[in-house]
Amino acid sequence: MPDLAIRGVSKQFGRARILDDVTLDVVDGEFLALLGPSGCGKTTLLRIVAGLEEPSGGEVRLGGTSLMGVPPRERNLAMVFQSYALYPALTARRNIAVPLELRRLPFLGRLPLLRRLLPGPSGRRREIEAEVAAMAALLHIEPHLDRRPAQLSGGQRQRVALARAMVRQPLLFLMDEPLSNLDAALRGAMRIEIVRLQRRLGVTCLYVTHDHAEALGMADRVAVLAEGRLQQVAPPAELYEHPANLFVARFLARPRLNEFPLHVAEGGVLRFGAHRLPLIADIAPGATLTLGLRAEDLALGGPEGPAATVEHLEHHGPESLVHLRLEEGGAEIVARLARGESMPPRGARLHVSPDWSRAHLFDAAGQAVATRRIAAEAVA
Amino acid sequence: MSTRAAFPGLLMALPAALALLALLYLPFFGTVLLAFSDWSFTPAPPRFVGLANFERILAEGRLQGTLGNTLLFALMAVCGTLLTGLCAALALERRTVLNGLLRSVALLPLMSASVAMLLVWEMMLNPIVGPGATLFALFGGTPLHWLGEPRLALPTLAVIFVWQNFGLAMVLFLAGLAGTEAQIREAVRIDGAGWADELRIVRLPALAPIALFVFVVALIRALQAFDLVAVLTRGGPDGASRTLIYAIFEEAFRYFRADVAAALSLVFFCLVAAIVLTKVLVLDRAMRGS
Repeated sequence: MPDLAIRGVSKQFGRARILDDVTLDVVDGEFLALLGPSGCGKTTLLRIVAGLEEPSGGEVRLGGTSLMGVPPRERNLAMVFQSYALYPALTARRNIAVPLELRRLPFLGRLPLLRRLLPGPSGRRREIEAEVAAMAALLHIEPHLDRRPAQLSGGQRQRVALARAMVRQPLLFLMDEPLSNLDAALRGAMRIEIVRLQRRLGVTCLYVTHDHAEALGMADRVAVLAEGRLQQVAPPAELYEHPANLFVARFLARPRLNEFPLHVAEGGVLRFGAHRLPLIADIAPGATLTLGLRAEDLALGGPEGPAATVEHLEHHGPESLVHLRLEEGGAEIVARLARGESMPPRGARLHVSPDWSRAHLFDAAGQAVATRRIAAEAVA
Repeated sequence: MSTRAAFPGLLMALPAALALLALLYLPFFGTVLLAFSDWSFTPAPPRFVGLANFERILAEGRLQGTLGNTLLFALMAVCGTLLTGLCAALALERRTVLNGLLRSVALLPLMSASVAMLLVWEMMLNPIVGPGATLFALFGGTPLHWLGEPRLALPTLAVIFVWQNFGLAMVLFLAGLAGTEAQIREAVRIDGAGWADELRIVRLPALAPIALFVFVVALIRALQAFDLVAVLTRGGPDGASRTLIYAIFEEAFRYFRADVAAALSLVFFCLVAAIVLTKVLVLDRAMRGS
């Protein structure tokens, strides 16, 4: 059972701490996305699992055995690089065959000139050719198999790189931003295709990305990493509905998270300026909290709520963004309206009424705080 | 382009064109004319003699030996330079302080005055006073006469050529290695390659175009290696290290047969032209195809 266990892994380059005590489990057959902004250490973690980098502390285990000190070629995992890293001198067919040849043929049999003269492993060679052809069929690249990487398009190179990684059925599949060099349309199509292949082959997959849509759309679970620390590990829906801290809430909010400073009054009653919220937090009075509300969880034009002025409108087709300025405090906020909802004109003054069941509260350290809703009548 | 616009450009190219004409093209055509005449530093005007000079060269029967020496020396020198340059580049690829120092050391022979270095070599290889000979004598052996033995002279010269030139090959190979993408080398390690397979799949293919360049440069330098022969063996012993370029010098300035030397020069020119044509027509096309 190829469960991947990352135990207390740290990595330091000189003084810089890249990874800080990361503990993470990936279960057999799971697709886990490692999500974070650039420089958060996600690629370093992937490279440590691959064996391209030694951790400063901690341990990586695969299927119950420690990988520490095991060279990359003996780890039985495959990796897809951002740049695809195809071998430029070899045709697509030979590129895909390399991992199989390196494992199944004796050294002399791998040499291009000698292998024609040696009688030995021709059966194994035919077997390899058959597996390469099957993988090429799965990824629809048969017509391009005899071209070299320089003669292939970006999408075709990506498919060859995937085929090369998948062909030997590794225990673990590592992908480092494999879609970031593709154009938007192709990226969308490849997302679905990668997930389909991963399910079909049943290979455990660790997928690094900085794109939250990619992570939420593809993964069974998402691990959010920031400044070398694991922030939250959860299925996409849970990550979206219950962000563990302010960083996760901000990172998953588009275009950005609306944040309001709150004051805690007697009995856990929450106040935003003069407004009393229909929420109660079990927290000592006098503390300051941050209320986070996503653009899609704000309704406009209700009878009550904080007043704001419309400053700017963005039409995106299926949705529109309304940028407003709050009268109280003067903060800029953004609301998302679905297609068909009536757009307020620029300069209009209206009330902002949040969907309180989707409100997220965070304490001064940025950690999520539990709240209870109270009836609207109690507020008034 | 109009004539008026071209004028300043032509004017600027004029000094270089005159220099080329005076130092390259005129001597070249002079040599070609000389090769078909009978002039040899005499006051009498040259007479056209057709292929007589070439017939003389063939009749004297030394051309085959000279050509053989030239090609054998070039083969040993070029292969040696390619191999040692490649090995040095692979050995010194990692950027450490020691490797940086060793890289500079490898380049020293290339940057030193050739004749001075050759005089040092002559002393080192001397069978009586050389340090190698002293060492041999210490263990009771008979010191080898590296430059005086007909079978040893040419290979010894080739070794010294390699010593002089492998640094250049190393620098070019190092540049090629630095150009290989780090991710490709990591990919092949994950795919299951050890050192030898990584070399075969990633590094050697990346170095192939550089090897072609080194091959051509080293070949031309080896064919032109005059100072080696002139300082260390003077073509000896018994013509065993008489290469084409040295034979031309000998004919012209030792035997004072300028016409024969010119004919030999033409042979040399054809040899180099054939190599350059082969490179352009065959090798470059093969590289582009791959």
